[in-house]
Amino acid sequence: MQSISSRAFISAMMVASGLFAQQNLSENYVPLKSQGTLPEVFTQDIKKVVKQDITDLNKSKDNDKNLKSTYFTEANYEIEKIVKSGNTLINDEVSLYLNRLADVLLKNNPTLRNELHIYALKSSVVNAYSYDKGYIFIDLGLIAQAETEAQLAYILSHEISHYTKKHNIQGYVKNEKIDRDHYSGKSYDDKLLEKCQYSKEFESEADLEGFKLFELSNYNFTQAEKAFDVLQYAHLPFELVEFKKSFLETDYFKIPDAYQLKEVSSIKNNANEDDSKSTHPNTAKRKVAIGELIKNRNNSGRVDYILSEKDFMYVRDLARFEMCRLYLKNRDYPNAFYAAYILEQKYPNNQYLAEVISKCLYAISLYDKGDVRYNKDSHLSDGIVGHSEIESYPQQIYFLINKMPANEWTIMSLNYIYRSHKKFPNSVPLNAMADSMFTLIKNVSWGISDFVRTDQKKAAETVVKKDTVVKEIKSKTDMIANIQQERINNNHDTAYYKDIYLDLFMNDKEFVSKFPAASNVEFTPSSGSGFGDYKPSRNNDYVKTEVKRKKKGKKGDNIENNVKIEKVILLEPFYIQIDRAADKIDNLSSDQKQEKLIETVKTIAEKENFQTVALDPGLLTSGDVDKVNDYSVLNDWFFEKFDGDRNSDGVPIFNTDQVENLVKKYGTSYVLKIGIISLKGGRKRTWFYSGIIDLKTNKEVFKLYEVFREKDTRDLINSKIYQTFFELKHGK
Amino acid sequence: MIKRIFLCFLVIAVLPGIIKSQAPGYIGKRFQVGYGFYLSPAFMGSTYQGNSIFGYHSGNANRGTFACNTIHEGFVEYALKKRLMIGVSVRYFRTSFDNSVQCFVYDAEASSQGASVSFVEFPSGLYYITGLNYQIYNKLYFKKYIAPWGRYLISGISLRTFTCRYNPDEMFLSASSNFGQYSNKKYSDFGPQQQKFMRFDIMAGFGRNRVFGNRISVDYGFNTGLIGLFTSLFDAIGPESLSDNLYTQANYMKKTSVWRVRGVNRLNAFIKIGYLF
Repeated sequence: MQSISSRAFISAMMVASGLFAQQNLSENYVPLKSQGTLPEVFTQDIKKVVKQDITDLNKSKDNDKNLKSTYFTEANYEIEKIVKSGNTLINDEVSLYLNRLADVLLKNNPTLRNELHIYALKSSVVNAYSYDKGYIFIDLGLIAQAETEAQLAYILSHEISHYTKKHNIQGYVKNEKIDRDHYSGKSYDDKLLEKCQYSKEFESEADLEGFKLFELSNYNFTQAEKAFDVLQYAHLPFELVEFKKSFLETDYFKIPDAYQLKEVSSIKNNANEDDSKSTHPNTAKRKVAIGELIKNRNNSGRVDYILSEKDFMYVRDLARFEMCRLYLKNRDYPNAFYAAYILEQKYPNNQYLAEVISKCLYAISLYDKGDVRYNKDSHLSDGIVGHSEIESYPQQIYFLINKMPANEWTIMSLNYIYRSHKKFPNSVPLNAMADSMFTLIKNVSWGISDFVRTDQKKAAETVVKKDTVVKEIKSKTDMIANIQQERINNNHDTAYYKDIYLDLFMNDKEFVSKFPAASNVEFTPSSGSGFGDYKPSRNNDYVKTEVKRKKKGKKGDNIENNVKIEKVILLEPFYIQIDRAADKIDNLSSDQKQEKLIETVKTIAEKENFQTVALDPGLLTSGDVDKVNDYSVLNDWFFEKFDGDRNSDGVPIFNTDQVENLVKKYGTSYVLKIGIISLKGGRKRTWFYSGIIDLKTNKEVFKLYEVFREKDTRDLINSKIYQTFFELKHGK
Repeated sequence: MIKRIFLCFLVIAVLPGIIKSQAPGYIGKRFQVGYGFYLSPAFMGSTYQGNSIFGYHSGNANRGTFACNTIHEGFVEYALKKRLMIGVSVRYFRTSFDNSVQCFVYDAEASSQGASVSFVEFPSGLYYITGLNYQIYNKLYFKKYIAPWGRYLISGISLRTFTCRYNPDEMFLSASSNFGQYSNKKYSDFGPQQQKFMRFDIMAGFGRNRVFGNRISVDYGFNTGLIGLFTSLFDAIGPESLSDNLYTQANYMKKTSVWRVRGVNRLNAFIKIGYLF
């Protein structure tokens, strides 16, 4: 265990060596990455840790040894799962900052300080978690919402108190006892209420104990109370600012007022909501309890910042930039747009923000066309909701999205994206997206003959000429055709967006050359990036592939394509064994089987002379921090892909531009995922999955998904793994 | 001749497949050699030891004992495709017939001397059958499985060669006392004491292959001879119903042994142990 001095020394060395030189956010933002040496949890043998915990438990006098021994098993595995998930940031700027906060809070308690392992979690959720092993995880969503360093310090104190009071294990034991009490005649609701009651008691205790710890530092007491306001409004974006449509306008493009929601709804006050079925007391009660403590204390001389306001603001901005990325990852485009819009007010020349907004505009264009769909299991399965379901200023973005017709949105998106590309010509994503938008706009029937390309006078003359062309009416059909032509011309006259690209047409040769002509000349994207590969036409390869797959599916064929592959990036194979009787995952058994599975995969791949590059958090050494980051990038990529509809192969993944670097680094664009889920006890079932995704084309090129009504025997697993490698290498 | 046709079929149908095959096998192991043990309960017929579970009242087996015919097999199999395995095997079996079918006797010698001696009777004792079945077959594995692992259906053709042996001192017919000087005369001539026969059958069944230690295969399931299965209804009421019902000493073994051999191969539970390479 590192002492405080050694920990501080390492942090100081990292800063001194320029490893954590602050990013220049006014220009760009680079997503957060883990740094330095990986902690012990990556390299330890978890089975030994569990065994040691249980041995120590057995030495003690305890009436709940069985329950606690189960807890130690589950908690250790859960901690390991979180740390190795790719979402935990290690030694990054935010985690180091949180640890510095802990140093301030526990400057007089080095023993406790050394027991803590504090990490930032890449999650947009506003929450924090504490485990009895001293692991504390703070979501970036929470950091993005915090208003001051003192608020964050209080929240950290609260979590530390959960640890010191052993709430996690106590809560587990109590919940299990309530669940196992079959003879009390209590209904499910009764049990839930009882569990929530215990949980609320723990939370209240952590609030008070946390305050005692907070009090030992010199932080402003009132910030502890205000921290509850932050939690209360956590469902709202980190700032509330009016969304002005002028943000998307130019001299030649003005969005009609009808698309701007002028009056937004008020914010509901739910501080006093019924918390009987909640694990936490409502914020009103919590504020009152803390208020009682504060009122008798002298708050003079206490401060909002001990470390530094500048550092806090910087770290919070990092978290806010990450929020843009996380919303994109979740395909939550309106929120990503709004978060980036807020930050853009502070950093108007930030390239990353222009990229995020461009991605949102492009994605919503695809969504409007039905090319971006959400998985039914996704939290956004209902798609982009109506503005009435949103509170306050973010309503304006939802209103604009829902009000503006799809074609107009596409026209507007090209305008913003292309101009951003010109502003940041070195941005690969912007270049690729601009190209993709040209392809997309070619298929938009915008209802006018053309955009104004020269200048207003000439354009007007052209329109007049068109209007004055009157056909000689010889029949009823001539009459109808004439009326329709007039209507088109009238539309042209009144279309507010006809001048949108005027200056570009007049002054930008690149734009003129790329903008699709009225003729059907094919446009070839100049970029080789995944964005440019997208073909939105209904008569394209993507659609054909989909049809082919459906036909194959009828024959029960699992293989999507007859690809031949010799090298893959192998993501951590997963093995989940579910104990039906206990209705939970058997962690120990799963872990043992996973080890065997990894060994089998390795052996069979070698036997087939198949090259695999393992990106497996279970096989890392303390110096493999790069692999942790690579794993995290791929995990995010997969998350975004599978949050979308499973048939939406080829729909761009917006979140992870870094994936192209991985393809270059590892020399292959194919990622192999192998996994097994098995049920034991009662009816036996085994699910086997192996699949390959091509990161370049964003398509699933191989898939083997099968369900067996039998045990997960070795021969079953060996056969299926061998089949996977054989068919990858030799084709089906 | 039949054996030659059988071998030609093997060469023409199987070898090109082996050469061109891209079957994955079990982790690349496509060949399997091994030993199989088949068990066929002797419900009505008798075992080589002369025992039967139910037996025929008219037969000479020891009824009411738990009795099974056993078959021993050696096999070689090859995974031709992902779900297709082909194999050849030889099965050795032995059994007996309990003489539960009546035999017609006509004494020509007596007739030449003016006496009319003809009767129908159950021969005494048993006669013994040993045989070899030569099989060529394929195992079609169910979807999701990969030969030689998993559940499968087996089908093929079977060439049965079997030899019947009898002991004239044990197996004979006796004229009744009504035939005067020929009364109690023993008729024990059923032709050569060792008679060889050959028949075809269609083999079908289902089973399950498991693999242990990536080398040892354990295969278990059920197997049947389809002709034997379809004729089981007739066999239940006796072989006489199948063709002309005239069983003479000359054709007695030929007719009844076919029936008995079908019975032995009608429905077998089996377990096989194989070695994969």
